[in-house]
This record gives sequence, C-alpha cells and structure tokens, in this order.
Amino acid sequence: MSIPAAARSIRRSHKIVPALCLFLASLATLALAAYPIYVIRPFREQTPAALERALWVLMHNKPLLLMLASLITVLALLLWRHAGWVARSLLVPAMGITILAAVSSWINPYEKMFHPVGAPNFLASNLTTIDANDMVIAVTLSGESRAYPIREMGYHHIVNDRLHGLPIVVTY
Amino acid sequence: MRDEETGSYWQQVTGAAIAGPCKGEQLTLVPQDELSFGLWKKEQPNGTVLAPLPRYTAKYEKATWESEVAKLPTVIHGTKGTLADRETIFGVVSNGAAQAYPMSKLTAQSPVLLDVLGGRPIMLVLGPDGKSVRVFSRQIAGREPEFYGHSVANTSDSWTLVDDTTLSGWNFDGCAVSGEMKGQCLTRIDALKDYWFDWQHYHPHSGIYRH
Repeated sequence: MSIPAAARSIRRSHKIVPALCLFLASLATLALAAYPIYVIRPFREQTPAALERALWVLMHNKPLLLMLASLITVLALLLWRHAGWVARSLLVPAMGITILAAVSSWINPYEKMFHPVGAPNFLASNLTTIDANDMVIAVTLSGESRAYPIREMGYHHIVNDRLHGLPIVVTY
Repeated sequence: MRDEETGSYWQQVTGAAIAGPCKGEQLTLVPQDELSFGLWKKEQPNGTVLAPLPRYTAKYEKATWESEVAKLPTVIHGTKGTLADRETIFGVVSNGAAQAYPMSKLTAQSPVLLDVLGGRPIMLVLGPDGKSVRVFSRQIAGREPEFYGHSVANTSDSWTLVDDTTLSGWNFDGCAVSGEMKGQCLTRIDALKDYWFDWQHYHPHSGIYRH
C-alpha cells in the first residue's frame, strides 16, 4: 500500500525541525571558533579575565570543534535521505559552516601576520649596511657580542637564538 | 609570544607565562643593551650582526620609524596628568620601587641623571652618541659618589664622566679609565626603554623622575 502524498509531505516537513537544530548548532560551532579571535583582536583592550577566558578557549577548542563538526555532519547525512528540500537547504549550510569552523580553529590569523626568525645568521659588522645611527639590541656573553638591529627586529619581533650554548629569545 | 613546545603564551615585556601549561613560569632577563650601531661597533669590533632575511627586507622599518610611530594613538592610556602616552622613558625597577625617567631629560648638556631608587643610588647616563642610555649603580668601593658628565654630540672624544669624590674619569661601560679608581667598574642595572603608557600599565605604581 503506497503512502498518500499528504502523509509523505508531513513526514518530510518534520525533518525541518531537526535540520534547523543542526543549522543552529553549526552557527554555535562557528561562534566557538570565532570567539577567541574576536576577543584578542588588535587595537582593542582586553581585561585580564576576558583574555584568560579567550586564551583558554583558543587552547582547547580544536578537539571540541572536530568532534562537533563530525557529529553535526554525520547527523545531517543520516537525515538527508528523509529530508525535503527545505530541510536540505538547512542541512547543506549546517555541514559547510561547522566544517569551516573546525578548520578555521587550526588557523590563527594574528600569528600568520608575523614571521619570527628561527634560524638566524650573523654577519661581521663590516659586511652589513646598517647606519651608525640605527639602534641595535646588543647581547654580550663570555666576550662574544651579537647585535640585533631594531629596524629588523621591529618586523620579525622574535629571534630564537643560542649564544654560547644559552638559548635566548630576542623580542621587540 | 607562544612557545612551540607547550603552546603557552608569554608576555614580551615581562617574560611571564600567562596562559597554558607553563602558566606562572618566568623567563630570565639576559643583560642587554639598546645602543646605536656605531657605538656598539666601537665597543665590540669583533661582534656579529643579525643578517637581514632577503624575503622580508623590503618590509623592515624605515629609518624614520620612531617618529612615525610616535604619532599613532594608543589603545590604553597613561593616567591623566602624568606624562603623554608616547613619552619615551627609561623604566627602572630597584628593590621593588619602579620609576620612569623621561628620555627628554637626558641631553648633551645634562647627560647624567642622579637618583636614589628603592634606597639604591643610581644614575642614568647618555652615551657619546647622544642616543644610547645606560643605568648604573653609584655604589662603588664603599662610597656613593655623584657623577657629572659633559658631552658634545657627534664628537665622542669630548664625552667625559667624572665622579665628585676622586675625580676619576669613567667610560660609557661604567669603568674608570683614569684617576684613583682606574680599573674599577660600576654595576649595570637593567632598564627598559619604553613608552610611558606601556610602562605604567606594567608598573601602575611607578613614579616619574621630575627633577
């Protein structure tokens, strides 16, 4: 016995509610991914408490988002077969958004902007083209002295170095 | 800054870890100098210089960067009525007491600032290049002399630093090169060249040298 068309459409439209739930859940995962990036954005002051919360989320949200994205995607795929076009138009963005959220949590745009020096090379003074008036940060250990020009440090901000066996980080 | 091994976050200014597995730990400040390349070359002829990375060289700061940055607004501000946000100061901490010494107070005509901070007699000295500043303890050989300097910009030969007790001549390394104290050296004290708004943020109770 075939199911009447009206009953079929009622069954399909029920899937709109779970589809909407998954869509809203995907928006929540996007918010979770965006929250720390929003709080620690530049040109804005953060209170110590807000910074602590944001950094905690930043350090812990990758596995959580991976789990949530997988869950939402699996549920969306299970729902797909029985979903009508309205529900499906919610399931597609739900999956897309939550996968985007999970992937974006692996990228920190603020870190991408910077280029620390991890394997610095050094030149004798007479081989450089630095002006006598340019300022340098100088570190001298056991008679060995190294200069880190500030015009260069102002770009890299961090140099990981080792002087006489002592690992140092020069930062500006 | 974030370390690769633990993912902890560290403050650049203090070297303290504020979040992550290393939270609460503290990096050790290595004695260092901020000085002009010309002066450093004279003092350390065998020293080596960080090489530029060809890929990024075009993006390095221009020679005028300091005056450009001085015009930029700041996100947080110093207390009203203290100093301008971007006043360049030398921040010194001694026995728990913090003080900001405005760079504008160090000139060729008065290259030495004398002070007592946290009970310790110190001095700030502007170097022969007219740009570099070092901080020394004035306690030496059981005395606490006052020092006087005189320098003319761009003629380092006439830069002299003299103590009022023995009238010995001292160099910018804090070592006596002539007179009774010859061969003795003053103790260097760490100082941070910073903008006032930033220094005050880390040292809310910092005083300001106003002599």
